[in-house]
Amino acid sequence: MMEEPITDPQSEPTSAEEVAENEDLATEIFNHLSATSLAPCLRVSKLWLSIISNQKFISRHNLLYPPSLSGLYLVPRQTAQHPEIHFLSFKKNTFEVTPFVAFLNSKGFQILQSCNGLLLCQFGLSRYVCNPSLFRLRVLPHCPYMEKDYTLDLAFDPFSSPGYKVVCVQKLSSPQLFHQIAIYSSETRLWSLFQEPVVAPNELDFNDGVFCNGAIHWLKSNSSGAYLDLKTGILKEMPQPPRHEESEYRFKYFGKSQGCLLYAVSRAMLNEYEFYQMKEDYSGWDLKIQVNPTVMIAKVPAMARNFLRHPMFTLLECDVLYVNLAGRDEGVEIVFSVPGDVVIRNLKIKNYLFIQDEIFGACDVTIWYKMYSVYEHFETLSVI
Amino acid sequence: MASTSTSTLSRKLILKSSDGEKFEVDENVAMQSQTIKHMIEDLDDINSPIPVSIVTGTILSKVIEYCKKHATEDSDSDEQLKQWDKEYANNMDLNTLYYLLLAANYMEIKGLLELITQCVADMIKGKSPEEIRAHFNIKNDFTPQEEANIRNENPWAFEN
Repeated sequence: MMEEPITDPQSEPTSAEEVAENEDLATEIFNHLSATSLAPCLRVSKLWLSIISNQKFISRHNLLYPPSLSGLYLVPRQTAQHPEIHFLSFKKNTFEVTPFVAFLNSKGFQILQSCNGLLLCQFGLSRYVCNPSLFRLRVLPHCPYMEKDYTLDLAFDPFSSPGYKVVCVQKLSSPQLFHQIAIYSSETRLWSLFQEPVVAPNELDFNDGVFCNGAIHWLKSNSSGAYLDLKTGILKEMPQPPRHEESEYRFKYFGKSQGCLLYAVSRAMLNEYEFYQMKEDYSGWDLKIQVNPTVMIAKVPAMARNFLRHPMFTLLECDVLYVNLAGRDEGVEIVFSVPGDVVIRNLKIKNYLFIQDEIFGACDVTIWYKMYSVYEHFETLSVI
Repeated sequence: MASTSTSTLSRKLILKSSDGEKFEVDENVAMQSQTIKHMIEDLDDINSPIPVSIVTGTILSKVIEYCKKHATEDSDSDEQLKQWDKEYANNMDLNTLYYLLLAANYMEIKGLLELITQCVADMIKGKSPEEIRAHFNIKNDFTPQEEANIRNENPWAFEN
C-alpha cells in the first residue's frame, strides 16, 4: 500500500481528512489500538483528544483491552541517591528502556506507588499521578495532611471506575498511634479530610499499601495488618498473617494479583517458600503455593550460602519480587531476585526463565544486596 | 465467480452511484449493507434503481466486489477469506481506501468497516503525532503552549 500523505492541492477535504474528522470512524479505528499505540493519537488534534478522553470510550476500551500486566519497574534499593528506574518487560523478557522510564530517569523522578497502570511519582516537593502508557502526568494537589510523617497510596481500578483516588495517612505526633486520613478523588479533584483521627491497629506504620478490591491494605512483617475500605471509609483489622510468630520464618512478600491478596514467607535452612492467599471474606489466609527454589543454584551458584560449610545447611539468597497469578499459559508466575539475575518461575510450564540482570550484572555477586522496590506496569487507557 | 451458481433464487437489485453509474447485484450481495437493507424494506418498487448517494461508481464497484466475495457460501475457508481480504485492502491506494471506509460507514457494512479500520490502525501504529497528522492531512489545532510540550517530547504535565 502506498504510504504517501494524501495532499490535495485544492482546499476540498481529502478522503483521509474526512475519515479523521468523522467521530464514528475515528472511534472505530481507535478500537483497534492498544493504550500505548493510542498515546500519540492523543496529541494529534483536539477532536482526537476529546474522543479518546471520553469516559464511554475508555470504559469500552478497557473491556476490549483488559489491563494486562506487561512489566515491572525495578528500583535498586541500595545504590546512589537517585536510583535509576529499570523496566523489566514481560513481553520481551528483557530489561528495556521505555520512553517514559527514560523521561523519569532524566528528570530524577522517583516512583512511590503503582496501581493497575497508574504510577504515583515524586519530583522535588510535588507529587504526580502518571499514566506511563499514555505518557501523561498530572500534579497531585497539596493536602493539609501532606506534612512531616505521612504516606500516600494510589487506588485505581479501571473496571469499577475510570477515576482514581489517593489516600494520605498522616501520623500525629501526639497522641501516639493516632493518624489523620484524607482521600483525594480524581472526579472532584478535591481532597476530603476525615473528621476524626483513627488509631493505628497493631502499631501499623501505613507503609507500602496494597490496593485490592476497593480497599487499601497495609501489613507489617511481624503483626497483622489493617485495611481501609474506600467506599465506607472504615479501617478494619486483617487476620494474623501465617507463621509470623515462628522465628525460622521470614517475611518475603505482600502484594496482590487478580483481585487476591498474597503473602509469602520463607523457611530458613529448608528453603521452602510458602505463599498464602487471603480468603474472600477476610476470615484468614489459605496456603496456596509451596516453592523450593534450590534447583536454581545450578544456574546461579552465588545464591547459595553454605552455612557451617555443610551442604545440608544452605541459605538461599533469593527474594520474591512479584507474584502474578495470571502468567503465561495461565500459570502462576513468581519473579525472584537472586544475585546478578532476575528469574521468572512459571509453576504451570514448570520452567525457570533467567533474565540477565544488567543492572547489577557487572557487580560482585558474592556481595549480598537487598534487591529492588517493585512497581507494576499495566497497559491502560486512563487519561488521568 | 461462484456466486452465479448459488444465486438462482436471489432477486436482482440495481444500485445507482452518486455519479449515475448503475450496478445490477444479487439481493443477498446488496443486503450486506444495513443501509440498503432498510431502504429495500421501505421500497414499493424493487425494480427501480436504489440510490447510493454519496458513493461514486469507482468506489461502489469496489464495495460490491467485497460484498460478492462475502455473500457467497462457497468452499472458501476462513483462512482463505482472510487472505483475500488482506490482498483486497493492500491493492488499494490510500485515497481509495479512505473513500471505501466512508462508503462502508455510510452503507453500514460491518465486515468491510472492520477490515479497513484495522488496516488504518496498523498504519497509525508506531507513528508520531506529526506523522499521523501528515498522513491524514489534518491540522494541528493545539495552542502554542501545548504544542511546545509536544515538540519537547515532554509528557503533558497538568497543573491544577
